[in-house]
Amino acid sequence: MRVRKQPLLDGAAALRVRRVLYLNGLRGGEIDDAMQEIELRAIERPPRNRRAATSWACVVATNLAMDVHRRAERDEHFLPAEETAVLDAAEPTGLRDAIRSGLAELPPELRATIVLRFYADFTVPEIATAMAVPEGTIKSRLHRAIDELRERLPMEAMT
Amino acid sequence: MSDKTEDQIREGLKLLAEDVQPPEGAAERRAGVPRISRRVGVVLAGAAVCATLGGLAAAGTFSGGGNHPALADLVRPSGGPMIPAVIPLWITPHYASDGTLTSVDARVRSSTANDSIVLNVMHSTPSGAGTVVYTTQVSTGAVSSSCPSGATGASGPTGASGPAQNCFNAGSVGTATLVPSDWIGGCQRTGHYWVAVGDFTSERFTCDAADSAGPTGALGPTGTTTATG
Repeated sequence: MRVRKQPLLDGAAALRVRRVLYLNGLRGGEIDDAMQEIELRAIERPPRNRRAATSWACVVATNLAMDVHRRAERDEHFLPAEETAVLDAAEPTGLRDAIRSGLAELPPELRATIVLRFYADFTVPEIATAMAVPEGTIKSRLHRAIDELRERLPMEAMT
Repeated sequence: MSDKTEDQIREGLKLLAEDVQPPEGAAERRAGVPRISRRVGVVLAGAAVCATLGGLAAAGTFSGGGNHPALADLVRPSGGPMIPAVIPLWITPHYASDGTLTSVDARVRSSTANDSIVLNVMHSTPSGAGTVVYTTQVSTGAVSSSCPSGATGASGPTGASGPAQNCFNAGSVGTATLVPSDWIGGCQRTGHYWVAVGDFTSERFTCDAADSAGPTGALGPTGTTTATG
């Protein structure tokens, strides 16, 4: 009997990971490339706990996104064109636009920390483990990132 | 205030994430040409290369005379088969006329541009396990295209510097020259040495001329250390 291997990520989990990549600033083909890279890594070094595959994939996605940004920084074209266009647009008005423009201005490490904490719902110790830095560093990054984003939030959101 | 801000960030991220919608229906996806990422492309090319090299190795193309180890010698320490698509390590030991190792040229490959790869020189203990005697980091350059002219490369089936060498250049490659004097114990230790990158290991080689002509003939096809009999 032929056994069909279960994919690492089902539809909902894959969508969540794609969104983590998107929130970390990857776009279009970069997201597709990263998703294939995650699948390859899952084949080469599968996560120990398959039930935690989504979390594992979110961590890999975050690290891949940061790699992309580091490479882009070296190549001196940091912001993807799409994001630059958004920043050039009129003053953001809604919460979504505020977060979008705020994220775009955060350094990749801060951005990744925010996404893992508030989108992927990781705890501070989990983020510290994922990013291989001390918990204090994560707390500091969160503090800085929240401060920066707060300035961009629309007034009604602050009250 | 802070909790409120965090809630707003959480909500904003959720709204922004909705920019990414589930892919279209499966039928539509099947109709389109699937996207192949650069790494997957390299991997697929590597798989084809490995399959070709496997055939060449089986046919005895690499069975001797050259200075390069056969790719078939790259195995996981567990003894499992090499993942054919990823060939991250290639070494060339250089020996003096008296059979003493002078240096080892190592080439490492990554699928990622400007990567930094940790390379360990290992020494076999009497029990057969390996200990690290030297560690270095090798930086790789830009990603180049895969094999220059098809799976067998440009130089034809000559073995030593033929298809394997050319195809190895696919991806992002870095080189290092390892000198025994840098290692713990230099060439004073008996036993075999090898180079490891992650789970991958090179073929074993000896360091001192006195070790090179052991009864096991472990150095095999490189044929560089048989002078002392």
